Amino acid sequence: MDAEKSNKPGNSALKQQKLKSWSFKMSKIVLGFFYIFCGSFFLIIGSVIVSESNSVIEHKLRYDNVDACKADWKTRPLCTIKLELDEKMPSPVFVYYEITNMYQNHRRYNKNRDIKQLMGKTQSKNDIDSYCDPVKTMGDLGLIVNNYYLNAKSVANPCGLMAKTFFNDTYTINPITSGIAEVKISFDELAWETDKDEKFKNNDNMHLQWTDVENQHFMVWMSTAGLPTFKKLWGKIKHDLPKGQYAITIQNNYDISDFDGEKAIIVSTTSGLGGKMSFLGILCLIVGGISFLGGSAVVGLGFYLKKIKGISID
Amino acid sequence: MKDPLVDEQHNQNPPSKRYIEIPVPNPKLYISNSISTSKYNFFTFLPKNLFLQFSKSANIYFLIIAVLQSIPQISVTGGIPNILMPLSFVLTVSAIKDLLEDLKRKKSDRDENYRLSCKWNEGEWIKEKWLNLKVGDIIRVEKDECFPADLVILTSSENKGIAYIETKNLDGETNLKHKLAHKYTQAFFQNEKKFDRITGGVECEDPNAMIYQFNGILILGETAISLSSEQFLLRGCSLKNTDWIIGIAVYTGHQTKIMLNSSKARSKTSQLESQMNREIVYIFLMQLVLCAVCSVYYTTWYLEYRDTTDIYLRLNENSSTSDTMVQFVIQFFSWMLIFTNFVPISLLVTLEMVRFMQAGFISKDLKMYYESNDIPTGVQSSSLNEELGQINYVFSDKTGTLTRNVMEFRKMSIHGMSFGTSEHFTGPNKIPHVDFIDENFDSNDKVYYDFIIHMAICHTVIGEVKNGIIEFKASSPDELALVNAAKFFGIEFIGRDSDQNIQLMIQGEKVSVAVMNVLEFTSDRKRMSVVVRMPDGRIKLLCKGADTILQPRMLPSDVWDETWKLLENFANEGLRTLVLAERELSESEYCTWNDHYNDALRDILNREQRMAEVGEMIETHLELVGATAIEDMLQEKVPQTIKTLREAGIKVWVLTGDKIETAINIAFSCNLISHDMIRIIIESRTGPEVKKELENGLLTLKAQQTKTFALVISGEALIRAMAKDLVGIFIKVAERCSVVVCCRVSPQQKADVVKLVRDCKPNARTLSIGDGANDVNMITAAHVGIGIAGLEGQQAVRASDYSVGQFCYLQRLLFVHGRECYRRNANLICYNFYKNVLLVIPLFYYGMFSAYSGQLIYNLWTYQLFNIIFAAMPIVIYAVFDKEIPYFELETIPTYYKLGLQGELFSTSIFWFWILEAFCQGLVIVLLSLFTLSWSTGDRNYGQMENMWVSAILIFALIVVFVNLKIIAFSYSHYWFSILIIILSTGSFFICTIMITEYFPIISWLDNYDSRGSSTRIVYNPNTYSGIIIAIFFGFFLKPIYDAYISIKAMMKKDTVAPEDSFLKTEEKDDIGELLPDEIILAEEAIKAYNKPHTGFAFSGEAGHTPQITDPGFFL
Repeated sequence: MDAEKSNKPGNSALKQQKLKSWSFKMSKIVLGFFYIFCGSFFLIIGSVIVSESNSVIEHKLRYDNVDACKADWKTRPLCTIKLELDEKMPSPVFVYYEITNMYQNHRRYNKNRDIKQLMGKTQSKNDIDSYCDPVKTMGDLGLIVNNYYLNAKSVANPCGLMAKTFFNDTYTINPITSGIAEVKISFDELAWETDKDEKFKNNDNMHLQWTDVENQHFMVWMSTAGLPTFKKLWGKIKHDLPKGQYAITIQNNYDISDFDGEKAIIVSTTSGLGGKMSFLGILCLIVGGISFLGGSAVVGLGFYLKKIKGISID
Repeated sequence: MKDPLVDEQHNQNPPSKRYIEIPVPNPKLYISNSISTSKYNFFTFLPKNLFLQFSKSANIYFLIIAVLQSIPQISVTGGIPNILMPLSFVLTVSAIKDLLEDLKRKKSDRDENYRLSCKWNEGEWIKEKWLNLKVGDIIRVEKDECFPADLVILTSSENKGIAYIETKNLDGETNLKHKLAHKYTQAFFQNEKKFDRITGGVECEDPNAMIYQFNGILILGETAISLSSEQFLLRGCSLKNTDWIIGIAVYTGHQTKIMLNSSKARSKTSQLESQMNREIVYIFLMQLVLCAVCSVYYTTWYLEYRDTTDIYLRLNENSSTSDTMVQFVIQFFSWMLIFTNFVPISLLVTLEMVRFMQAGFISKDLKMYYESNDIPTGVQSSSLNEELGQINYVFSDKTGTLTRNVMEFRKMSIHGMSFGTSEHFTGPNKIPHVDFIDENFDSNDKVYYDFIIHMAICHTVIGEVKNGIIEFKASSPDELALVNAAKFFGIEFIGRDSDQNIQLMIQGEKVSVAVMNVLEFTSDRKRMSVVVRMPDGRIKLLCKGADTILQPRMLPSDVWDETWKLLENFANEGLRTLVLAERELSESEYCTWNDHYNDALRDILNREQRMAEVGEMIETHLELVGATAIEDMLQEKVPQTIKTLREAGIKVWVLTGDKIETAINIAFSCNLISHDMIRIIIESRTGPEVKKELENGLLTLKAQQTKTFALVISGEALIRAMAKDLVGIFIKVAERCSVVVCCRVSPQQKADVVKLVRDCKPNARTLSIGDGANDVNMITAAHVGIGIAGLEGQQAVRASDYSVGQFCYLQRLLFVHGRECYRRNANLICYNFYKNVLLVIPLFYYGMFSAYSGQLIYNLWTYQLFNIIFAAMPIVIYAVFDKEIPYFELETIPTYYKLGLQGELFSTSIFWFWILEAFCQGLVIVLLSLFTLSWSTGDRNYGQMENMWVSAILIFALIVVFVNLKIIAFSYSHYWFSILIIILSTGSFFICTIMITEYFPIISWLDNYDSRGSSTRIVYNPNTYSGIIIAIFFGFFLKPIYDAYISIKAMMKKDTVAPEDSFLKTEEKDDIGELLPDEIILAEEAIKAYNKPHTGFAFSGEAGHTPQITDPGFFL
């Protein structure tokens, strides 16, 4: 047989499957120590998270069931609730609204908008037909507008269910006994940068729109919440709120009664890790505990077997 | 040639005739001699391949999904059938693989088609490629070459037109057969020039599959010569001991008998793959159930809340969905689309790719490369890689597979003394067929003269001087060894004169021995004799044969007991023994007998029987001369391989066309049978007798439950035993015996035995290994067929799934490659289900928070890229490179293989455990991602909340991280590139997501409006990181510490370390029950009968193959 034509396979490490490899297998004792180490790490992290979370001052006031807001809210929407601070809330203080039992993430709901329209493009009725049904025209919105640009049959801009059900309660906070003159709530940093830069643009011809899509409250609303109980940022107070009493005046417009929803206003500070959320820290502590105990048990029993009974465990 | 490969049905209709006019007027009349086993050509590839691929139900399923995706009402992808992306990827990869495999087939066809033969072309012999040969061509075949087509022999180099052929490739028989050119043509074509002027033709049957039948008429000018199978040479056979023959091609290419007999290879599916197909169905059913759950939940929710949520959902307004049933159906199909990826789209193609690469490594393995013949291991159907790890039964051919078909003279016994040691002769002076070392033996001693000259005379070997060297031509390899041994001891057989008298060279002196009569060997007589006149004028009968046959015909001898004992010793070493005996005849005695002999010879009708009778008359009063022991040379490492295979729990059956004695001998030398085993031999020819023998066997089995047994059964008995009424008891006996040897079985019977085992043991996996065309049926019948690739003959290799150069490579093929491929492919399958369930199940869990409205939270493209990019390659690397245990340990320790046989590596429960794991991990992922990000802000300065899409991206990211980490978790060996691929796969997701959510323009088909900016949000949210760590901990770190704890606890309890293999289950066997009291005596008798010592007689060779010696009237 010709040497060149030999069928002999090559003798490379790859072809003979002799490539260098290693295995992560470790002895049980080492494994135990590894878990003790990880456990300690988790316990520390967990404590940090819990203490951070505890440092957040958060006041949540449900107001849809408050008598003042409940009675005849459709005709007299203004109502006032009291906020009692027993310690100072350092700036920044954030104002959120919370709605429960509302499925913003329902398939039909969160896709019910036309993205080109939201980005500032003029869309015809045909363009928006497949996205915005059943809220396509001004008539569908239920808004009675009749001017040169808009009538009941003209294209709703923005169209769709999401825009139509835009949350429109407003809040003002007035100090009662806290030593400051007023509480200034600013609305300029509510939405994400990308929302402002790319996702929401007014049409060149603003008259075609029934509302300002560059309004940050609108952007926040259009950012679909992941859970049926959700908080959305409403405003930011850039100064401290001293200890004392405050009156929150609510323009109570938004109807949640049909779907058994609840509305609440939340006033909260933040920590290094954001808002109040203790479950992450608790989970960390649990994980750390399991890991530490498991590791200790393995190490302990392993040494016991080795020392007392002379059995090697690997 | 008793075992036609013929289907019964062929005999029903007499075949129609063809007439080949010579010279052939129109060559297009007959098909060409090229053969093709490839599936596609350039034009048919695309349509045929697509058709084949879409005949797989999974591909049809995804095609339907693509159609559903285009329907706007239910589409969750905005009407884009984006499943087509992974589907076309899968189809392309699969098509490329098919193409490569077909090219391989094309190459092997090419190799065969481009072999060269000599063809007569206008006055000279020219070399011609096989594929260009045509019917009617005059072809010359040289010694040791294969016949390129079915030929009719016209003339041969040998005197009188005889030609020897080897049909090993066709029927596995090892002795040479002779063919004979017709007297007329042999004489006519002495002058080659006559080939130019042939006019005439050949009338013969149309091509048919009847291998041993041929009838025809050759017309040369005015002469008509009748042709029979004597003149018919088959493609696939080879010419031996004859310098050349010239023949005329009558059947070519696919019309040759051998090609008509080669059944189209059935496509085989591994057990793992059928299990996988079942699991796909389970998963699909699970998908349907989940779809139903989701749609029922949603429909209920819808009925209850459609009015109350009207204020923001306006569910009532969409007229088409008002009907509850319609709502349900639409929701159901929406969820179907969302859950599409439960069925792992890339599983099949990944598996095929991986097997293709595994096959590459199998064929590249140097430890399975047969250096001396330059034969690497070949993989014909890589889809059975994992099946190699599950073999319960090995069916092996004998000749060419276990043995080399070379006989070597090793030992002898003269006057009750043994000569020959177990040392092997090494060195340059070794003469073929003799491997004898004994310093105590002096061949010049006159005492041994009788013995040596007996070996030199009593045979039917023909000797010829070629270029000054004497060549022996023997149809029996045993006789060849004996003649060579005689030469080795100083008495050289140099040939026969024209009267067939034997010429010997003794110490430089030429001596002639007149051969007066030859009594041939038959398997009934088990002996052969010659009557000769010795140089000193005495008439002697020299006889050799089986000890049991000769003993009663012998005069009492004082060394008989010693000789018998030596025979037993020889036999236990696996040597084949022959007893040599002689008798001196007086002139008168001989003359009387010779008349009987000549009478018998003339009786054409009953010649065989009459000859046996005259043999019986004279073969008595024999004197013992000695005994010979010949080694039927085994292939390398056969005994060790068989031993290890059996230790792994694999049952080894030997199926051979050889005689019962030969087979038993080989079984001894291969370590299959040892002398402490009880041999149950079944060799009767009628149903009732076989039944009796089987019942006796069963009784013995019951009586001696602690012993090991070997079952030896002959082909004829096997036919009866496999009949309906006996098959039950046969299987019972066979299963209990640790060794089964089937002798004298036809190729079809070999296949039937394999099928029988498959039918009776549906869960057992069978493997057949053989080297000849006679093994093809058995190779195709078994789950895995292995061909031994020899120097000649590709039939077995073609039909096989794997081909190896040597039997002993089977051990590495099974223990290393089979076992590892099985383990890895099983894990690959599980992993593929796992990753797809993990991919999809979060959508189900998320439904809890979105009223099961059918919210698809993943980006459309990342969702489909998952199986192509983010989680595609690492499992491939794993399945090709992972090693649980170093290969040399795997190869030598059968326990590891046993684990696979016992289902420790893969089972349905293991599969469901993977699925369960995905369900749990999916829940952890969804809950953690949702609540860490959507519950509260993670933004210290701006207090902004994350939306659904941020959580969704974290969910997807965790899935990608999990499926890639999972690979690390269950891999045993890690390479730099495996880690790199895992990092790249995970990284590619992050890059892809960042591009889509941050950098690509917002386009509706990119589906990146909602998720705009989410990547940045995730990165800047500190809670992401603690969420990821916790998720990974719950996903991967609970199990190892729990396992470690449990195993330590177990050790505390047991106080001792469990022995390594205590967890191996004992083999399950059907209970054969206890012996009844009245059966005890019967059983004892049976055992007594079986306890015959084994003396190792075996002889290969049949009557009639050297007619010029044995039949004085042969050429007349």
